Amino acid sequence: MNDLTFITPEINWTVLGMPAFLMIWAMLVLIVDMFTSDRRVLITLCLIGLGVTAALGALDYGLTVSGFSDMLVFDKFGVLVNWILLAGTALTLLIAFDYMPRQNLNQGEFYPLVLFATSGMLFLVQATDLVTIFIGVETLSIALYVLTGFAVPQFKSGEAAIKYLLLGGFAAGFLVYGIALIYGMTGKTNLAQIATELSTWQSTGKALDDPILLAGVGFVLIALGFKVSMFPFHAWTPDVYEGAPTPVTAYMSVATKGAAFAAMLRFLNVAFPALKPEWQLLFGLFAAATMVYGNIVAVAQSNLKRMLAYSSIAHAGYMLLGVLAASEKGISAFTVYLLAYTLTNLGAFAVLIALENRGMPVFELKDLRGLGKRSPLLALAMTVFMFSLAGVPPTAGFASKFGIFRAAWDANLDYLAIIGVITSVVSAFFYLRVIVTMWMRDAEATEPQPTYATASLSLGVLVAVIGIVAVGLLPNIFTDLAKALVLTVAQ
Amino acid sequence: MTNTNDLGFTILSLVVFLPAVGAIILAFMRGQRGAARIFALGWSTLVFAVSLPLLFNFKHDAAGLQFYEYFNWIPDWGVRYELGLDGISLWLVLLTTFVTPLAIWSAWNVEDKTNNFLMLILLQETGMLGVFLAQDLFLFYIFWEFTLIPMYFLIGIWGGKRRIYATVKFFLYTFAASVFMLIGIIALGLLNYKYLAQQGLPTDTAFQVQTLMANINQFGLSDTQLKLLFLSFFVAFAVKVPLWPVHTWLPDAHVEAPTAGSVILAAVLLKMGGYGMIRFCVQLFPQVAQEWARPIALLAVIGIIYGAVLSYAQSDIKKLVAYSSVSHMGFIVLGIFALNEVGLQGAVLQMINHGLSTGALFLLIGMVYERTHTRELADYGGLWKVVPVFVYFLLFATMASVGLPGLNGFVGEFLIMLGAFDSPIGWTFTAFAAVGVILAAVYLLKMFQGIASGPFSERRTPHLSDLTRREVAILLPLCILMLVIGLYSPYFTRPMETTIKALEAFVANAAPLIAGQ
Repeated sequence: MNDLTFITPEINWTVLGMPAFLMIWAMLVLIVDMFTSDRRVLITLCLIGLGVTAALGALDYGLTVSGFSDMLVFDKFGVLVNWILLAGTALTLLIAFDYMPRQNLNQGEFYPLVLFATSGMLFLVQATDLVTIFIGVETLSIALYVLTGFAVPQFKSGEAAIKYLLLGGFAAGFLVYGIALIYGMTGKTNLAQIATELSTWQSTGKALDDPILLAGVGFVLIALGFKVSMFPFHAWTPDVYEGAPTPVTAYMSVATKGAAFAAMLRFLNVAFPALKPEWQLLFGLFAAATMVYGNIVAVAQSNLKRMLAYSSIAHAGYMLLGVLAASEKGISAFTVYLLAYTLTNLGAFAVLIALENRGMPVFELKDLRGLGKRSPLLALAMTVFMFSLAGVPPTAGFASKFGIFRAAWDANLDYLAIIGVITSVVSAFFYLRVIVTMWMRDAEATEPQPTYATASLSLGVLVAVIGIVAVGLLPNIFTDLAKALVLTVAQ
Repeated sequence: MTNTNDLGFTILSLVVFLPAVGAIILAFMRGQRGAARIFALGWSTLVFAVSLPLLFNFKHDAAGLQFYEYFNWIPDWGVRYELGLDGISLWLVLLTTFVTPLAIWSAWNVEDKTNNFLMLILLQETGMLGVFLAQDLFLFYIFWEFTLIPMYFLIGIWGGKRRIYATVKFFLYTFAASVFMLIGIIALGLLNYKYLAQQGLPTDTAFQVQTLMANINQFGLSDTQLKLLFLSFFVAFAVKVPLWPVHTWLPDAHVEAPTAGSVILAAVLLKMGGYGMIRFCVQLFPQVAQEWARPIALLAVIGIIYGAVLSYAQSDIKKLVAYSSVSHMGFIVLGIFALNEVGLQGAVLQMINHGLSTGALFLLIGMVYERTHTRELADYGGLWKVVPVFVYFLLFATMASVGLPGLNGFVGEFLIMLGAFDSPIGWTFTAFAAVGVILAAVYLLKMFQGIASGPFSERRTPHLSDLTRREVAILLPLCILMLVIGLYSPYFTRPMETTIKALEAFVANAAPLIAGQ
């Protein structure tokens, strides 16, 4: 009975290192959580884990390795995006640290859950196979379903979790179905092999615009479009963002988006360069609609969380331009944009968290009145965030938008660049309204609400502000780092 | 940083960022209002002193950029940090550093959040100086947009009753117009980048104005593309100037702004539009500028007459002066698009003149408003007898603004009309512009008369006292300069002569647009 040997698969730790380490570390934190209820221990452990994960990326930075039958890859692009995601996660934990107990949500599971989600994202960013893309999407989604409903005694949080779960499940269905159709047509799940297969189609004269193949590509993109809240798959975004605990909203608005966009970049550019005219046209329309819809609807919002939700839809539109440009410039611009957006959006949500009272999740614009007098530093930070979101120099928002529009213009997507700048003006209107409310309108006569600018939150806000100014004034550091990024085509 | 001046240090960067450093120091002086005021005044005077070597070391017969300094900022995009000064920007830089201390001194009575107010003015100065000195399109755009932020807060926090409406309108109007310039900048930068790479030249100067001037004809752009690019820049500058019909933000912003804000707005901020038209619209697209000189001149002349008529119709003094700015700035655009030496010289000189005289008018209105809290012309009268020193200064500034020979306004307007007459714009437009000069006398004298003569009403204009020594000291330098420019204008036109002659030749030699391409 010993002819049955168990072959240990070869594990390439360079490739798997970042997501695997974070996953294992998260389990460790989960165990530690059973023995201590001191959240300071937990957050310290988490931050250490994130730091070590980032260092693992730095260790082999510059190498391009693929492993696990080319299902995962370790390349510069993946590491850069992973670093941004890790930084976003660290900031999320900092701003959530005092918020969760204040809202009576002091379960220690929060920390490992965030790490699980991040680990799924890192995996997704490095995925070069339809199967690994699916695993990545599901890993991050399941953790996020739980996190969305974390404030479950509150009705809205439960509602948001159910909504996200149902629609997310639906999107996962699209993803699997799309993968099945693509596999059915090409016989491959590996992105690079799909591209090779399609090029043999081209050389044998087989038509590429096969309806089943196109449907498969479309279904995968619907699923990824759902994750990044691209119009018209955005409908869940405002409700879920409003209902989820604010740090979770902040986290979802940047990290999920970043990871799903990275997957989309690889999916389109590695597997389907042959269909580029088709998806550039179709997604160009979606990108335009996303920018227009997000910004215009945001104008009508009086609830700040919903306004930021619509604004995050709009920013998905801008990031989509980088994806669509399908060039070195586009990839580099996307990476810089993701960094700028991560810092800015997390910062803006951090300010909301500092103002959020227990049991008062609904946050109206008028609550910001007189903030400039009450806590000028917080208001100043929020001002920086709003100018950065609007893309006003000398903030990161401007430098990154410049890169995105430059890439789009260079890729002959000039109409998208023009729609982009016009919608930026529209967005300036509602971002400015926040600034006007903080500095130029006095608080109503009612007693002033307290602000909770605790040490950890202030640290998070400070890091965000410094990052924004640094990217705004010295974009060269980041453009140099993100320069000449090539998506690895592993065969 | 590479530096090409004889002074041995990067003077332009120092001039640009010194005010910002002052703003940072002010941030640490919270709660010390008096000290902060004196510091801000002293610091901005220091900035003026530091900017003076620019004038004394300026080489009059060099056409190119002087005090030129640069370093490679974002090589991946082809962006350089690059500052330079020529005959066109010299006086505008000095105007900025000269007016800012006066504006700060005029804000002595701002009691609410004084430190923030002073910080914003200093930041504004950095932004404006950067606009006049940047020689890279990306850097220019950053400074250009940055100037919106301090002014937005100055109007929005310290402004009058409708301040929020005015400041949001100001911001959105100018922001909306500027984003098209951003598209133009991106397009030019990419074209230049490709061209340089194709020629095997270093691509780090893709956004540099000088390189673009030299290369733009090699890009193979069609007639229509050039015109669209021209337009993307022109709209941004036309809103800033402001040119009719995109002037509507100006009266609101001027009326609601605090005095120091109005002064900076009128004296320097509007000039950024005129400067941009010369530096970018004319230098980069000389052919289009030639072809469209007449239509643009038509808008300018309409603005001159329209601003004048509306100014006459105002009952609010500040609004009256604000509309007079629309009219006066029309002259400047007319002079620029005469595209000849005389017209361009007149335009640059008139930018300085308008800065001085309108700045002085806004200061005077602010000073009297602080005492009476009314700006209704109907409330005033008979101030001649009550506050004679105030009225002397008002008369002086009014006369300069009207264009009385012997004072500065006359020289500028005369040169502009001479230039326009002598150019393809022709005598018809010039004749209408001349009507604007007469109308200026009508509305400004109406204002002066309404304030100075007639019966005095203690009830409507209470607590009037004459100008204090501080106020006289603010106005005196402005008035002296108005007189000096009026009497001895060659001193002021001489440094810009070589630059403008070169520009005129550049425009005249530009390849004409190929019709039908």
